Parts: sequence; structure tokens; C-alpha cells
Amino acid sequence: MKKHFKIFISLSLGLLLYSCNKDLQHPVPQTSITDATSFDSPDRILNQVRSIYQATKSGAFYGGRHVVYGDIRGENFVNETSNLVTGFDVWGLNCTNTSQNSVKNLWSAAYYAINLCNVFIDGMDAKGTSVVGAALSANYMGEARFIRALCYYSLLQYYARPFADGAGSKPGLPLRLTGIKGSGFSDLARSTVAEIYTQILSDLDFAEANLPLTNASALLNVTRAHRNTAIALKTRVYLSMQRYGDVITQANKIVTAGAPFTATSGVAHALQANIANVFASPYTTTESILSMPMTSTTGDFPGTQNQLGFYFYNNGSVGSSEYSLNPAGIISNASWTVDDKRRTDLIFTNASGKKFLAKYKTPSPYTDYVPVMRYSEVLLNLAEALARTNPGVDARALALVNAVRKRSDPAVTIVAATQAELINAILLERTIEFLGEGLRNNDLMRLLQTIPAKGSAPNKAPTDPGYIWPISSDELSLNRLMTDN
Amino acid sequence: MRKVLLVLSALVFFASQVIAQKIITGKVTDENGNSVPNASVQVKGSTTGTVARSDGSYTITVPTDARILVFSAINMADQEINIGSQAVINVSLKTEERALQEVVVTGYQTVRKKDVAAAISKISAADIENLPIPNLAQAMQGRAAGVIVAAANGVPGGSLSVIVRGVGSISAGTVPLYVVDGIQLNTGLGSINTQNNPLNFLNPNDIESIEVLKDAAAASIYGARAANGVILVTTKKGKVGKPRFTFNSFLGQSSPLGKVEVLTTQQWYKLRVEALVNAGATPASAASTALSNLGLPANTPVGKIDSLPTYIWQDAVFSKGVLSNVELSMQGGSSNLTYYVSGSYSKQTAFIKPTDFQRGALLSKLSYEINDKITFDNSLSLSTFSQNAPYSIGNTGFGNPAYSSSMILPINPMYNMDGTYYGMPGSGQSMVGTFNHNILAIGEFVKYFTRTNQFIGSGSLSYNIIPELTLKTFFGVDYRLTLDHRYQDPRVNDAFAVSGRLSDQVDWNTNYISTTTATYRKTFKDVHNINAFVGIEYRKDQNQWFEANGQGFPSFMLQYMSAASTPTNVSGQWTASSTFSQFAKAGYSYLSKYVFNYTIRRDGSSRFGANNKFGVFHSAQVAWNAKEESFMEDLRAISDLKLRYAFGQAGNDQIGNSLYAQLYGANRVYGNGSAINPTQLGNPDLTWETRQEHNLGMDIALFRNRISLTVDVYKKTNKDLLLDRSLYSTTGFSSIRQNLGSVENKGLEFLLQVTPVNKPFKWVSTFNIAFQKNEVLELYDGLQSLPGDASIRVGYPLGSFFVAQWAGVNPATGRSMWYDINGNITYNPTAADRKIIGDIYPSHFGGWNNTLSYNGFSLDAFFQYEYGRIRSDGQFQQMMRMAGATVNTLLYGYDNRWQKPGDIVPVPRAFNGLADYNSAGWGSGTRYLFKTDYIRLKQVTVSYDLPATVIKKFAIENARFYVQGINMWTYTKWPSYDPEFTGDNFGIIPQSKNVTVGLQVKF
Repeated sequence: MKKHFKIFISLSLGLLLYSCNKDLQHPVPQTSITDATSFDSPDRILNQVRSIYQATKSGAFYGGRHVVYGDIRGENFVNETSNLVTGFDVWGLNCTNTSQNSVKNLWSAAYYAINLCNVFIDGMDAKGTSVVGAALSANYMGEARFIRALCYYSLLQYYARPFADGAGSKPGLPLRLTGIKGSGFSDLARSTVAEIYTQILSDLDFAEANLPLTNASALLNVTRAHRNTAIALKTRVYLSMQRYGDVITQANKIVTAGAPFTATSGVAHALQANIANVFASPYTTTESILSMPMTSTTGDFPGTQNQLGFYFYNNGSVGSSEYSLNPAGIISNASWTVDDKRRTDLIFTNASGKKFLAKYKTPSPYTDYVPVMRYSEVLLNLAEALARTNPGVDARALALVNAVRKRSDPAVTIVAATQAELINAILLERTIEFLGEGLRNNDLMRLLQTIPAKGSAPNKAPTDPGYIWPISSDELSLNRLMTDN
Repeated sequence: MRKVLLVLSALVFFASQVIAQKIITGKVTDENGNSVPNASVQVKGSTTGTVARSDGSYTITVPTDARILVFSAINMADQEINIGSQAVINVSLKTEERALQEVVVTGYQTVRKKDVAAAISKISAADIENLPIPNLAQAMQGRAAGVIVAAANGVPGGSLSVIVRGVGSISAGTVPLYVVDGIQLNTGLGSINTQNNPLNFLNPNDIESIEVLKDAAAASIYGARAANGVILVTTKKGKVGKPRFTFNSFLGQSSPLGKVEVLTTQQWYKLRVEALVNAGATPASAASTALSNLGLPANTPVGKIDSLPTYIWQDAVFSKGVLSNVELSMQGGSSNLTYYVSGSYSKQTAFIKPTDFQRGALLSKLSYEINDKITFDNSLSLSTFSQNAPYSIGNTGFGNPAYSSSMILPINPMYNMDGTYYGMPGSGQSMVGTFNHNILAIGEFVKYFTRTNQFIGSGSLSYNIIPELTLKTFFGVDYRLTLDHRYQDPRVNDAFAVSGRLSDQVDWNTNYISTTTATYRKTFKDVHNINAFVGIEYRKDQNQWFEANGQGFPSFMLQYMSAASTPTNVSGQWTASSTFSQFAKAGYSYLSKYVFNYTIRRDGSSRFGANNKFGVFHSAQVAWNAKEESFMEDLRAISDLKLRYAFGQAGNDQIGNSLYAQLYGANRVYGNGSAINPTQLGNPDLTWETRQEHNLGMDIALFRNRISLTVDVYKKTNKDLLLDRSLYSTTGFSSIRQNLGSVENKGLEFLLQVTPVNKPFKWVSTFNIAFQKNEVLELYDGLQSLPGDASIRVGYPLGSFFVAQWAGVNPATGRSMWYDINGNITYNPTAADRKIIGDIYPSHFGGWNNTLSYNGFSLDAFFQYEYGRIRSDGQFQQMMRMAGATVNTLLYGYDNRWQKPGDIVPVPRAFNGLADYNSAGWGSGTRYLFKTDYIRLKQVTVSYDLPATVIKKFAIENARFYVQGINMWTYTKWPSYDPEFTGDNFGIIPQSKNVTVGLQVKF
């Protein structure tokens, strides 16, 4: 009997030992890449770089709505549909913490992109650099930090008081600089506006130093960052901070001293003879410093109710006429003549006489590239900085604004008798030139201007509630350190 | 190993040939002296044996050193006789006392019922014989106390939910673990058609028994898969004896349980005008609108309206279905080889065309004693089943006949004069009203077909090292291929514009399992009974599918992808998981009085995060067979008494295959360039949901088992529930999956069996009832309700409705009223006015079975019932639009509607656009929530066994004729078709009434 027991016990032990030795086979997912191997090959790393841009291109962000909101907060468009899904509250300047499509979605889309940048930067530091080599790694890191800067800058324009209000001392954004891949992160309070701008500039300085001078093709020069892209964004950032001297320093790197104003190193940015070409296929002129590419491949277009053409255009089945041009807005300005190409080619009047913006007019799925920065903006940023810095009428500033105007309306020459007139002329030119490109809100904010009334929407003084957006309710309820505006 | 075994068996065989032999003859009879045919006669401890002839006589040649003969027969107790010097041995076998010897299949072994201390429900073959059900899980409905089996609808072979002792999970799976003959099934769906069920592969008549391991202690031996209960299915196997054949066939018809009465064209016109006028139209414009809704000119005279035809679409769509089944099985065996082979074909068509189910199944089981130490078992189940699925389920399709037949405007005819379908696209005709699809044409033209081929097979080798110790190794495969072919004919409305649409999908499911156990069973000194085993197990599941879609077919006659002019998209996926387990049981009983069982299992699963890869699950069970005590001996009235207590743990691993991992997915593009991005947050702590349960039970039998009662009371807590915890967006994600929260289920189960009359007329009545209470104990971060689902609230059951209460109709205005949170009347209830109003799980439910038999006649009547469940009646709601839209409506609504101030009625005034002025939606709040309470005569069977004198002439053993009815009678207040369903009751094919006649012959 004892013998039997022994047999039984030893067999049981044997089984247990056998099972301990046996490795637990682990099916590796075949349709996903695990974190452990995500930086193992140059291909995967490049795919992650594209993913960062893709996140920025989200329909809720630069793929559409961010640009739309930038314009409809301003006075130049009239809401036609009273539809909350398509920004009626943004237009009416009465967004709430729970406004899903604006306040909540833009917040999450931008931070989604920021996290991708952070995850990528961490992964390159840990492994990726050794896979692709230092040179290419520096390029990629430059791209990631460029996009991170763009995201933070874009968020500041909606969710924080302008830099001009208290020199950046007001609450800014939660500043996340490390990637979140799993549990174990903690709540995060808001940094000040100035602290965020400091980070943005640090990222852009890094990007300028590490991005390639040019990319491999015209398409990549427009859709992926290169050195001049970082410089161009810096002119925008400094302008928003009202650091005009820095705007001039940066812009001079890519703008020649005299006409024709072009970039002489890196990608040869220049104004195109016909502005309409910038908004037409293949969308890859040297005037476009950065655009979000769109194709008809599934997932590569803006998606339902995000498309610029859907909002701003209306011709047959193309466009939903969500927003028409405000008859009392910029189109009523007499100095913008009827012969201006930007009127003749880029504005459309429908059968009932309403005017619509015609910069984006490809039919569904709306594959117009979305402009993020154009060279004309750099020229006007420089012009404004010069005009504000130098007393009197700065000749180069006047030449720059005329370069933009005369490209579209050769018959008109802008003249200015005083510094103030010059500045106003430049601001006016910006409004005309960038109509429907999302810059109007930035311009109103950086100068702490009252947002003018339009249609049924009242004006908003900088002190009024609703001048900037509230913070997403999800963030407030879940991030215990977060504070509302 | 195998070689060693072969050599061993050869040696044994050789040895047996050289030993001297002698012949023994005799006769086997029962206690009444009747001969027992086919009894097995075997030399104990050897493979030498024979089978008695039909008159019970036998002749056996045994070795001279053989000491004991073992006699066994079906339903008889085994008997051992010392051979000594006898040459003639006559034996009288006793009918087995079932209650004493009853065995129960538990995890990895079969034990005497006496030694069970946990809560297990058993369903035997006789209980479920010849039921026209495609799905084995349906057999448990109403028969296992505490197990809710709910068919989603009446689609044959359709989806089904089985919930053992209440739901214990919020976002992980709630499906029990099914183990068929040792193979753990993969129950993932493989079909894009909505109605498919992987449990359809088995012919229920091949089932010997179904055991439901209900409490965590019983299920615990299955570890991380066992939290939703375990259902063990044991198929029939052969018994020693000459070949015995069973032929069985039934044929029948299914028909709708009922129809709903809807309006005639004239009534609808009148109600439509009323609805328009109530919404502010002038009588003249209302009349002209109503006429145009009917496709008539505005100047149609009243006389013409009165003579408009009414077509009753329900009559055209609800027809009769066919049920048929034919099967033949053969079983038998010699002393060392037994076999069971069964083939079957069954077909069921629903009463709404073209929905059907067909299955051909083959089950082959073989058991071969290679020698007295080694046994090989083999089981093969091959099955193919096909289904024509309904065009759609739910409220999404106007082409769904179950949904729209009651709502098509009655002025629309079905056919043209020439017999072609009316109102087809492109014909120039169009049906009026919202429901403008000719559902008869869709039933004929559209093809939604699913074919499933399934193979489940296993082989095992048992090695009795010493009589007490058995080593068994088992390997099984569950392989399933599901093919979907969804063809939308170019002639039907939904596909006319694109000239037909086709979607083909193939899904492969491969699941294999390998189990090795060592079992030790021994009784020491006649009092200490040891039953212990250890085992290891490895299981891997893999699923892969791909799908292709195309459109643009040149003709409806070309129905395959090669004819599609435009491929629209393709897709595919792969996923897998594996589990490695070690488990052990130690069982001890003293004189069968005191029973102690302890089980432990350690599971390592690829589904769990690195920090929680391995889970350990324990159970401890004690039982006291009080009747075995000497002081109980004199209490003759009590024939059995047992008290049990068990505590156990189990896990729910149905949390998805790699949710813990931080993954990058390739589902993005940037300017036509591919991109990969993090798709989910990693959580190395992610793990199983844990179930812990206390179970206290009692089994008592009185008056020689004439009354027996089983009572179980339990409290189970499921914690570490899988939940998506919301994240703030600055993390870049919106949620992370974590183990949070807990849910409790408490319940009480009774199973009572009485035999009021025994002979010659016999009546056996079995009644079961289960009471159940579910409560969410805790969410996370102190939340009182889930952010994403306000109906999941701490202190309330899962599946609750959280809505505002409807307050009826205002007699003054005819408007719908609701209560606000303070009980005041409001017309616009807000989110703050919501309250918990019942839930979707019954509070008490069960079944009642009666078998009456007399002289070969028997009557079986089985009732099932469910109380305390609330459901939203979507179909009723849609049918109660009261001409507020251009759909037909219920006569009930028409007859009971508010028409003038002072009317005290249940139905508000008709109103165009449905929601009355400044009012919440017409279906808001509790208005269309109803109790599903029902009692149903689920099954009634009358059968007649031909008397022995008659069948002898035909040399058959038994012949039985039977007539069976399913769903013959129902008591319910449910307003639309039928209360037995899951979901929201939108456009589902309801249950049907089935009548079959059958014949079963054994020979």
C-alpha cells in the first residue's frame, strides 16, 4: 500500500514539475504590433511618424474643425443651419464645458496627437535612435517636437487667455511631455500660458536645428515638416506673443530682404502667381509650407461633417452651406476690389445670391488639402512685426503687404500714411488672404480684440465670458487638478 | 509511451493464450425470474467475457485460475459470483436502486451523488428526449433550477443566452463554459448573420446527461473559465451487448402563436385625419394629406374611400413551418470494445420564410480496452448545419417581415393581377407608407445563408497502473468553419440602386485542448474513502476570418462574387489565446457519512497582464449524509438526508484576448502612407474577474424516495469586474480597461420531486423554482453610477431600466403624462426624473414537469414560467404610432384612444409626428416597458409503447408512438407577439407553436 502511495505521489509531483517547466505559450497578436517591438524597424518608426501627422489631421483638429472654428468664431461667416453638431455654439460664442463637437473633441484630438508625439520621442530615446541612426532620428524627433509645438499652440488659442493678457501669467494647459502607454500616470495641473509658450519655442528651436533642409519630394515638402516649416511656425508663435523682434529675426531666415520675397535656403518658398493654384490639385506648390493631405482612401479624408468644403461651400451636391459669407463682414470691404482674384476665383455666389467661400470645392469625400501655413502668412507676419517695431511707415513692411495684394489684384497698391494705417492695412490683408484658413481667431485673440457681432451672434469683449472656450467637462471631472476658465 | 503500451498489451495477450481453460454455462434472470438478455458476463480483472443470449443463457470459457465472474446489465446492479468449482452458474440480478447509486459528472470525473457537496443540476436523456430543438442549451430551459435559458427569438437554431445564478459581469462575457465529453467548446460566434449558435452541432438525442455546475465550488476546478458556471455535456456511449439499433423520426408543423390585429384601410384613414387635425391641420388639409399618404388624389370621394381594399400582410407572411427529424443509432459491444454510432438529419423551417435550420450530424464513440490496464477512447462528432437567416432582425430593416408586416399600410396589395409582386423598385409602382418594401418578394429573393461545419473529436488513453491509480491523457479538437453568404438581390429595394450587394465571410475557429490526469481512488479499512486527482491542461483557441463585399450584379441569377462589378471592401482578422493549467482535487469520505472535498486550480492565461498572469482558485466542500448515521436507521420515513456547504472561487477570463497589452494598430493613413499608432493603453495588472460563492444545500428524500427535495441557498460575489475607466483626454486616451467594481447575486433554489401514485398508474411530478436577486455593490472612485451608462447603479441590479415613469393619459387633453422625480405630472421628463424601474432578469422562475404513465401510455406535460422580468416592447411601441406616421397601427390603440375631454383611456390622442406639443417623445420613460411574466405549457407529449406481446412478433425490443406539442398554451399579459425573447423585441421572429408526431423503434 505504501508503495502505491509512493507511486501516486511521485507521479503527481512529476506532473507538476513537467507543467512548471513548460513555458506558457503566448500567442503574439498578428494584427497589432506590441509595444516591445514597435521601434524595432525603420518601417515601424516611419509609420509612427506618419501616425503623428495623421492624428494632427484628425477631422476634429487640423483635418477640418480646428480650421473651421478659427474662422467661424470671427465675424466673416454667418451660420445657416443652427446645427450644434456643425459649430452653431462656436459661432455664437456660447460653448459650454460639455459642447461635444467643439470643446470636448478638439481638446481630446489635440492631446491625442501630443501623446503620440511623446510616446514617439520616448521610444526613439529608448530604442528607435539605435535602429534608424542618429541623423534620421534627429529629423524624426524634430518632426515630433514640431507637431507637439503646433498642438500646444493651437490649444492655447482656444482654451487659454491670450499671452497679451498678463504677459502669459494666466492659466495655460496641462503640459505633458512624457508618453502615456499604460496605467501609472497622475493628474496634472495647468501650467501658465508663458510656460507653455516656452515649451513650444523650445520644441521649435529643436525642430529647426534637427529637421532636414528639404524633404524628398514636393508632396513631402508640403505634408511633412522641414526646417523652414519650424521657422515659419515660430513667426506665428512670436507674433501671438507680441515678440515682434523675434518675428523679424525668424522671418528673415526665410524671407529675402527685397522683392520678390522668397526663401533662399531649404525649401524655396515663394508666392504663386495665381493664388487659386494653391488651393487646386496637386496642392503642393512652394507657397504651401504645411498642409494636411487628403485622398479618397478610406481614413485619409476628413470624415463626416468635418470637411472644410462641407462647411463653407455650396454648389449642387458639393458642400452643405453650413456657413455663408457674412455680407457685413470682410466681403463688404470696398478696398477689396471686385477684380481681386481672391474674389473672382475663391468666392462663389449661389442661385439665391448667397456668397460662399470657394477655396475648398472638391466633391465628397472632400479631398482638398487643408492649409496649416502658407508663405503669404510668413510675409504678413514679418510685415506686421516690422510695422509695429519701426516707427512711421516701414518700407519693407509696405512692400511685403503689397506683394500679397498685388499677386491677386495687380491694379491696386496699398498705401499707408502712418504706422497705424500700415498696421491696419496688414491686418485687413490677413483677413482677406486667410479667409477660411482658420487664422481669424488667432488674430483676434493675440491682439485682445473684441470679437465683432455677426448675424444673431453678439460681440464679445475680451472681458466677456465666452471670449475663450471653457475646459472640457471630462477633463474637469476626471483630472482633479484641472481648473476651468 | 505508445510503444511501451503496445508491448505491454502484446505480452498480456500472449500470456492469456498459454493458460488452461474451462467452460461455464448458466442463465441470467431478474428478481422476478424473467430472463435478462444481453447481460455481460466477465472474468473479474481480465478481458475475458461474453454476452448473454436473448433468453438470458450464456456460455463462457474461462481460465482455470479465474476466481470471480462479474454479471452486469443495463439498469441492473452488478453482481460478482465466486466461481469455485461450479460449472453452472445461474444469477438473479437486482434492479438498481437509482437514488443510491446515482452518479454525477463533475469536473474531470464521475462521482457518486453521495459524495457531491456542491450545487449541481442534472438533466438526463429521458427528460429531453425527442424535443425539436436544434440547440443543446435549450434543453436546460426550465429544468435546471437557477439557470436562465432565454432564446433571443423564435429563429430555429438562433442565438440563446444562458445565465447561471445571475449575471456577475458588466462588460466581460457571461457565457458559461461548455464542456462536451471533456472538450471545452469555443462559443464565440463566427457569423455575420445575426442568428447563429455554435451549440447547434449536437443532436440533443445523443446526449446522455447534462450537468450544470452551478456554484463556484463545483465549477472551481475549471478555474479562470468557470465564473459563469460550467455545463458538462456527456454523450451516449455503447454498452456491452449485441448491436442495438434505435430508429427515431418525427415530423411536424410550426405555426405562429398569434397575430396582432391592425387597422383596415378605412380605420387608418380616419385615424390619420384625426392625428393630423390634433397636430393643427385643418380638416380639409388633413383629409387631403391622409389621402395622399394612401396614394390617392385629394378629391377622392367618401364613397370610394369606403370601398378601398384592406390587405392583411401578416396573413400573407405568417405561414406554416416544417419540423422533421430522422435518426438512427447503433450501439453495443463485446467485453473489451463498446461503440455508439448515431446519424441524424433534422430540418426546421420557421413560419416566416425563408428562415430555416438544417443539420446533419454524426457521432461515433468507441471505447477499447486494450488490456485490463489500458483503455482507449475515441469520440468523433461531425456536423454540418445550414441556416437561411432572416433578412434582418430588429428595427433597422423595412424588409424585415417580422417587423413590418403589421405596419405596412393595408391599402398596399401583395401581388399584381398577373401574380408578380406589387410595388417592386423599377416597376413604376411604389408601395405607400413608410414601410414600402414588398416583404414577400424579399423573402423569396434575398439570400442570407450561413453554413457551419463543425468537427469535435477526442482521443484518450487511460492506464490503470494499479487498480487504484489511473493515468489518463486526453486530446481534443473543436474545429468550426462558418461560411456566410449574404446576397441582396438586385430586385429588392435595399439593393436596387446598386444592382445587388453581396457579402461573403469565412470564419475559422480552431480550439484544441490536452488534459492529463492521475486519479487515485481507494477505500481503506472499508471506512476511509479517498478520491484524489492531479492534472495539467493546455488549451489554445484561435480565430481567423475574412470578408469580401461587392456590388453591381448584372442579373439576379448571378449570385457569387465573381459577378460583382464593383468590389467594395475586404477585411480580415486574427486572434488567439492560450491557457495552461494545473489542478488537483482531494476528496475524502468517512463511511459515506462525512464528505470533504478540496479542489485547487492554477491557470496561466495569455489574456492576463504580466503582473497577474497566474490565478489560483480554491474550493472547499463538506457534506454530511445524515441518513448513514445509525440513529437515523429507524427513521424509516426519511429515506435520505444530506446537508452540504461549499465555498469556492472561480474566474471569468472572457475579457478579450490581449486587452492588457499596449498595442500599435495599423488602421491609419496619412496622405496614402500607412501609419501605426498606439491603439490601447497597456495595463499589466489586467486580469480575470473573480467570483466567490458560499452555497448551503440540503437533499432530503421521504417515504422511500416518493418525495425528494433539494434546496440550495447561495451568495455569490463577483469582484474585480472589467470596466472601462474613463480618462481625461490629456492622457491621449479616453478610457483604460481595469478590474474594478463588484456585483452580488443571492438566491434560493428548490427542486421538488414527488410520486403521488406509483402502480399501476404512475404519476411523477417535478417542480423547481429559483429566486434571485442581483445588486451592484461597488463601481470605482466612489461613483454611484457608471459614467457611460446611468442605469448601472450601486445598490441596484444589472440590467435595470433607469427612466422616467409614464403617468398615463390626461383625460382633459389626451396627452401623455409622465411623473417627475417628486411625483408631479410633467410633459417633459428630464434626466433628473429618471428612476430605477425593474430589470431584465426574472426574480423567480423555473419549471414544472408531470409524467403520468399507465400500461404503455404516458403523458408528459412540462410547464415553464418566469416572473419579475421587465422588457421594453419595441414592436408594440412601433405598432402604436397611431397614424402619427404613415404606418399601420394596432386595433387596440384605435379602440382605446383618447377622443374627447373626459375620456379615461390608456392610449393618448393620435398626433401627427408622434410627440404631442411640447412633450417628450411618444415612447419616453416607462410607457412601453412591460412585465414579461408568463407561464407556458412548454412541452406536452403523449406516447404509447406497443405491448411486448405485439412487438415480439416483429422481433423488436420496443416501439413507441408519440405526439408532441411545444408552446401549446401560454398565460401572459405581454402586449405584442410573445414574451419569450431577449433584447428589445424589435421585429424578431417570435416563438412558434409546434406539433410533431413521431415513432421510435428499438431493435
